[in-house]
Amino acid sequence: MQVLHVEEKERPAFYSSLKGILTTTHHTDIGILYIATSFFFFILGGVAAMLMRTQLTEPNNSVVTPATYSSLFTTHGTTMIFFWVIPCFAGFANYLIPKLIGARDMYFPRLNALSYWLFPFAGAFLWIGMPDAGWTGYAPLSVISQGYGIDLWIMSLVLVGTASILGAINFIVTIYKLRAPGVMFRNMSLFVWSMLVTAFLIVGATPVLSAALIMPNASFRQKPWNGILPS
Amino acid sequence: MLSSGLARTKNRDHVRSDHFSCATFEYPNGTRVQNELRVKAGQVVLLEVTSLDVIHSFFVYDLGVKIDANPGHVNNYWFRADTPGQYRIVCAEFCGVSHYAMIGKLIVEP
Repeated sequence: MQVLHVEEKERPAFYSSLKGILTTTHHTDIGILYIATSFFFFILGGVAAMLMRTQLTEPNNSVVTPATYSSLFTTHGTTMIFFWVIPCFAGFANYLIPKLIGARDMYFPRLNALSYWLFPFAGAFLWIGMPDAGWTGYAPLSVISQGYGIDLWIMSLVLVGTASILGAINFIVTIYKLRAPGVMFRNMSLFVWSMLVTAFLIVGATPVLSAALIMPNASFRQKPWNGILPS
Repeated sequence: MLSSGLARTKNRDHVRSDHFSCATFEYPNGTRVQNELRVKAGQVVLLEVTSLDVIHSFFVYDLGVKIDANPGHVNNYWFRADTPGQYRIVCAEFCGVSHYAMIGKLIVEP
């Protein structure tokens, strides 16, 4: 009787080369990249929080100017929600979901890589812009806010929202189509269940957020090219 | 100034040229006062709160009064101050760089 031996070749770690980092589509690599990048943004947001608390150590302190303080808490809030909590969970989901349901990878590996790579660039937009209208960005203030901070903030949130939507679609399709035989919805891990529900919520809510962000940017904000280009 | 039992008090926020936001209080007889609201203790007051630029919020911590000031919309709020004294009115909705300086005075007369 012939026994077929399949040699499992040891894959080199994806982070051992820049090419590996830039081209990987494997779900564990993407998950680790997500968690590492979001932790970097967590540190940045923490530094902003430390600056704010230093300003507040005594009354009438002058560590930062009022304008810088506004930028700090806006950037801090946006970072902690959209660039730490959400991507960190996406990282854990990427790492764990295929393993927990017995799949080799996500259903759309390249889409998974795209939704990761949108996210650090969105974070760069946010930190270059340093918006100053509060992370809620209530309309009259965010529309009249001077400078390009709010414009970059809107672009950043639209990008990271797109990444969330793509990732959520990927999770839903993966959980529906790639469960190993015997993994049913009734005996599926609770973590996978929670990520499935979250993914449905993201698919429902994030397009609305993106549309609501595009509207003030496209129609109300003053652009540098206003008055130069014909409208 | 507030002779009737019901004081209709208008609170208008506006921005001066130096981007400092403040509150203008307009009394039923047309008097306008900047950053200072005088009411009588035990009197029921109706605030008609609106804004001329961005969203603010009229907030008196000690009395539990908090009502948003939205541009293009008038919000009504009833309150009664029983203890005479001075109270601080602050803006409770981030409204720009000078948000921290948007402070007014509520004087409750005996």
